[in-house]
Amino acid sequence: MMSLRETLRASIEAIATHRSRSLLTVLGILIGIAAVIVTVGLGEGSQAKVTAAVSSLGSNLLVVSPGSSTGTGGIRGGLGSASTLTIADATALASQVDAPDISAVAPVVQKNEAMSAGGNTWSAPVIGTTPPYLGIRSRQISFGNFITQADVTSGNEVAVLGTQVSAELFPGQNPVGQTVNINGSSFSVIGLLASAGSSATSNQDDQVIVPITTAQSLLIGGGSGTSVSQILLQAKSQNSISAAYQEANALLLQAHQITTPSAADFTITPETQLLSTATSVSKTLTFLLTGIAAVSLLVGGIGVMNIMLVSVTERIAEIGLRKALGATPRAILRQFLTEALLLGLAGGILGVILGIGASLIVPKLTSNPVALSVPAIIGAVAVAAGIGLTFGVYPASRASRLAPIDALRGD
Amino acid sequence: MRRDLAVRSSYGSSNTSPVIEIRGLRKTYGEGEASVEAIRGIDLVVNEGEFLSVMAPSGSGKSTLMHIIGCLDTPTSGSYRLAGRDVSHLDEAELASIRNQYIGFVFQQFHLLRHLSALSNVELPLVYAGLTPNERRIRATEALRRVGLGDRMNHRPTQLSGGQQQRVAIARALVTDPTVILADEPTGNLDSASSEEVLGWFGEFHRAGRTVVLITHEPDVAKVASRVVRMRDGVIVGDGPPELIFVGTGTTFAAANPAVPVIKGLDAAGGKLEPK
Repeated sequence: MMSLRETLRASIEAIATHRSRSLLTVLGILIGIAAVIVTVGLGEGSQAKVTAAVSSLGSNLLVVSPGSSTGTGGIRGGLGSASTLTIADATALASQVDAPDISAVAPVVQKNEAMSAGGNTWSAPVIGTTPPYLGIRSRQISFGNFITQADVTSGNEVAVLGTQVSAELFPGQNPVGQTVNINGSSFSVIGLLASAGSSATSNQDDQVIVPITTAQSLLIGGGSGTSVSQILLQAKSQNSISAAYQEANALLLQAHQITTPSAADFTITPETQLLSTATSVSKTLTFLLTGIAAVSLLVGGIGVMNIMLVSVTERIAEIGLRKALGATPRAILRQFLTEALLLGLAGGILGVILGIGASLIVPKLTSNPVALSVPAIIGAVAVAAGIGLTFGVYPASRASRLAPIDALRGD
Repeated sequence: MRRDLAVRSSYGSSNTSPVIEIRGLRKTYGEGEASVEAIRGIDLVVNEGEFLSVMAPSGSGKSTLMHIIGCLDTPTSGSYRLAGRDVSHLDEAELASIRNQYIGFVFQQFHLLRHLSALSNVELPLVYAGLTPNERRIRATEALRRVGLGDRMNHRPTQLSGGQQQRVAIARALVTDPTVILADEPTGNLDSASSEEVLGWFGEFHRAGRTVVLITHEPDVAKVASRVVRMRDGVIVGDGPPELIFVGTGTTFAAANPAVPVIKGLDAAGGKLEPK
């Protein structure tokens, strides 16, 4: 009986003898594995990016929106469609006695407005809010000051600009101290927000922040003088998000005089839910891309089978000779299976190398981060070897069944 | 050139038990209307230490006979005992093991693996015999030295002449110490000098006590053996020492057409003539 070591040696000799053909054989697997590594890496990278982006919206954040949702599933009445939240609700939620787990509250009204300064015009979301907004959203001021409680109380016509708005309206200048015209009213610029980049949902640098009272009186007309579009809540810590949720829910139900929780006219969305939504989107994308990579692996496997069949035909004389010299059908089967396994393994390892290389280059060409995943790499190599083996079964069994006299006649 | 083949103890004895014992052998290819009977009833006994050549024109069933003697194929009917064992109905794996143990093949096309050195080619049957790398190396080196290729062991077949390649193949046939050396047109691809040399080796093996079966269509090749079996249309039409099979001086062949030489002493049944 031929030992495993001999089988391995004979297979390596055969592969090394046909170096360029062996390389072509494994090319399909190589590309498939590299694609798997890059797509899984892209998926994990974008997931990490989404997580970072969502947490940049504010830490331990809960968003209260008007309108109801039917608990777990569908939305009834349309989220944000009703104007049931008021500044009074925000004030109630800020109570340290009734809501000890809520550390900060910022009511928000928002509207897209046209604005101008000097000869420059621009259009951007104007956010009316209160001073805690800065901390809840984890924003920084790079020049000047943020709006103060005094600004809110007096309804001062002051504005804090995002970097993009500033660049559009005051190119190359420090906007602090200048005046911007929003919807016919003049606002003096008191501060400039530090850049926070784009999140998954909005460009956080393309916005203007004004006191909520000013926004309600000057920008948002109609009967919604005291209604707000959102109330942002910050829980004391990651662990108190659930408690903060309960407290806010109870307080608002009470304030709105609603007895059945399912009839609530507001919706509280924890940040974690936003995160899981965004994550599931990127997971779907990863799944899709991995599916495509898997198809390319399948094609690669068929390529291995194809070229191994050619190889069997080409090596009929060798197979015949080996049989004449005493190779059993089993020994031939093992030799060709080992060859297929080694080809798959080689394709896998080369694919991993190519995949790692691509993972290092892709982020430089696009802005997408690529995370290298060790389990994906190990899995990819194992899958490649498995594909080689699986698709080697048919050619190997054909080789083993060749009659030695037919095989010897092959020349 | 060294020709110091040791005489194996068992072959040195006066024991002349049959190594090959074929009775009523028939081989048919295909089925029904399209079937072709390549061998139509052959009886053949080859004793230990005999140097036998099977001479036949192509298409006379000699390849089929060679395949059956070499355990590369099985008979349709009849029996074949090799070294006392009935091998007519063995399966592929068993036949592989029999070939490995009992038969040393020498082919017309040499059948060396191009990507292996001479040494590795000679080691090949020992790999399937399950010998350790060290044992293989020692035996293959010895076999190559015997055929005078001790200085060419690491050459690839493409770096060797035709004669040298066939010597590597002969070393490969010898290395397992087989019961029968079975050569199929071993000189078919060689020039006359190399042919003479290769045939010289078979004579040497015979003198050393080995059983050699040489299959050829050339009378000049066939007559180096001590016994010649003539085959035609799937049956044996002559069997005896070369001087009985061929007329003339014994150095040149008399008839222009080797397929129809004058045969003396052939009995009416077309059977064989045992050398007495």
